[in-house]
Amino acid sequence: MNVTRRGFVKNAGLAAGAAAAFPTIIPASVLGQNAPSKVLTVACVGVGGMGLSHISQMLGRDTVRIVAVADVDRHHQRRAAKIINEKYGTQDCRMTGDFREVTRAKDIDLITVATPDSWHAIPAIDAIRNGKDVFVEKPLTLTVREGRVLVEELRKHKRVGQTGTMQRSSEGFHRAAELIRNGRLGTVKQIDVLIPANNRYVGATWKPEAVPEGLDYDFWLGPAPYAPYTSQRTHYQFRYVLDYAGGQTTNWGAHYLDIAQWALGMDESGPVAVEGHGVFPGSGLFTAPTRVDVRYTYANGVTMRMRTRTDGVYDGNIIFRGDKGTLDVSRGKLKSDPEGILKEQIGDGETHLYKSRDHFGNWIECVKSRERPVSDLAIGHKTTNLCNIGNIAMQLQRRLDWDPVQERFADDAMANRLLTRAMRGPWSLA
Amino acid sequence: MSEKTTVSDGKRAASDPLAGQAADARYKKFNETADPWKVIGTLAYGDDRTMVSTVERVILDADPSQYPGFEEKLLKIAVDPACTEAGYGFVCRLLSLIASPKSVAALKDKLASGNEVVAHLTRLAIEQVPGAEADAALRAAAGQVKGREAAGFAGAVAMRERSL
Repeated sequence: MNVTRRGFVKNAGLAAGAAAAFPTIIPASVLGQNAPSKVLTVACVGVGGMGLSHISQMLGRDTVRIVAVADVDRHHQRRAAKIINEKYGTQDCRMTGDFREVTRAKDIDLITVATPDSWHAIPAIDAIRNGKDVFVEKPLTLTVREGRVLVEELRKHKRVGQTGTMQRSSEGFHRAAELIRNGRLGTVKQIDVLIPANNRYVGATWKPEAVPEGLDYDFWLGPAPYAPYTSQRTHYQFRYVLDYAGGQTTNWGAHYLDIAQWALGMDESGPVAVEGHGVFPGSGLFTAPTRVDVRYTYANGVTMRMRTRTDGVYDGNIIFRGDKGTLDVSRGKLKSDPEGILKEQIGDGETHLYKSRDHFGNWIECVKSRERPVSDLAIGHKTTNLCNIGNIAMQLQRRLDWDPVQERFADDAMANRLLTRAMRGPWSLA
Repeated sequence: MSEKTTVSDGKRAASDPLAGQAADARYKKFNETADPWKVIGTLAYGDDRTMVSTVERVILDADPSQYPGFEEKLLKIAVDPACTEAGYGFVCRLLSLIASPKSVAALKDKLASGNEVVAHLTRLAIEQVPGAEADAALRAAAGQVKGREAAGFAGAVAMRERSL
């Protein structure tokens, strides 16, 4: 079934009828965004793997109701709508291939974005400009420039935006960051980050293939340069092609570098220098580095090294090394040396970091309170900058001096050119 | 070059552990390897990028004083009517790193091309060029191109005017 705009609008009409029958589903434009009893309406943009995770995170909540899904793959649309309809016992979840039909819909309050990275900024900005609050997956944007525009639009339109860096809502990472921020390791000197292995080798060549039924491939490419369809390019594997993502540097770096930024109190800033060596495939479809080794230096002298791990574990890891001890944290582990560090309490007069134990719940609460969420887009942007400048440093294989506030490199015109990319029409950030 | 393998006649030296086996055809033709700069213009989508990647590396590592020479070589490939679309895209990606107003002048027609793929690929390079020449070329092309790229060019012009 081809989901046309007319069909979408027709379904929207049905949904409006359903809303009349079930008056709890009334958009914020009617009740007011922060009416405590209202149910917020949600549309999910990008409902592949991560998008389904978003849906499952929201389906059990009585504070939100998913009313629409948008995806360029019709099979993804149908699969997601089926899950949503079965959960609600209805048939009214709307489907579209064009995100603008949900980011501009009057009856939708919230937008989640879980598209390929090259498609994060545009729908998020469109949603913000149309009065929606947004949840945007990490890494926040493909380029530094996109991130700057996204954050500027967020503030200009006074919207609430959460980045999908959900480790900030995890007890272990929160505890680690709080201990470090309160000096339990003494002065932090060095941070070591490991991220999972990158793309596999899939051959030196690839062949254009027929676009599968149901996939709007031109829309999938979106702002990226034209390239013929080949199956390895799309869906999960997109992250290994630099036109669409930044490999594991940005995929996992967005999580673990984020914890470093939090622990160091660098949410509004970042390192002042970066250098790195990556192994970039000299041929084949994939262009993201297969091995990464990036070193960041902060103005206070803290150095951070991020490398690809080689033990096959599909998780990251971060070790903070201070002059009074070390702290080793990952998703399944929190260890300190000496052990006693972990038993220490944070006193009333000390720094207590933003506490969230439910990343989606925190976002929804903030939508109602109009407070900033734990992973406000501006924070996600600064962390994503680290990932992106890490990739740039590895590409250029030279030390780069970075201004974390102006978000420009010093004295390296080529490096600065890599902070943005020309988007294929009709797409732009304007 | 390894002492164990002769590459000129495709036969392996007696000391080679693989002696007696046929040499890899690529080694056999090693001495006839094409100039990687010339390979760029022949690239097809999905082709092996090994050769052209060496050019990319040279440019990434170059001293800025070398950029004009590289730009000239890339522009020569870009304006060659025989250059493939994939090859042109590769050239534009490299030009995006080093292009100057000279590229703006040389690629003005391609920027306003009726071929929307070519127009966008050209924009990859030209949008990265600071200054009035690129501003003017993008603005002029925005008034000429049709279809999806009309909005793309208009957006590009608007974003260049937006200081962040």
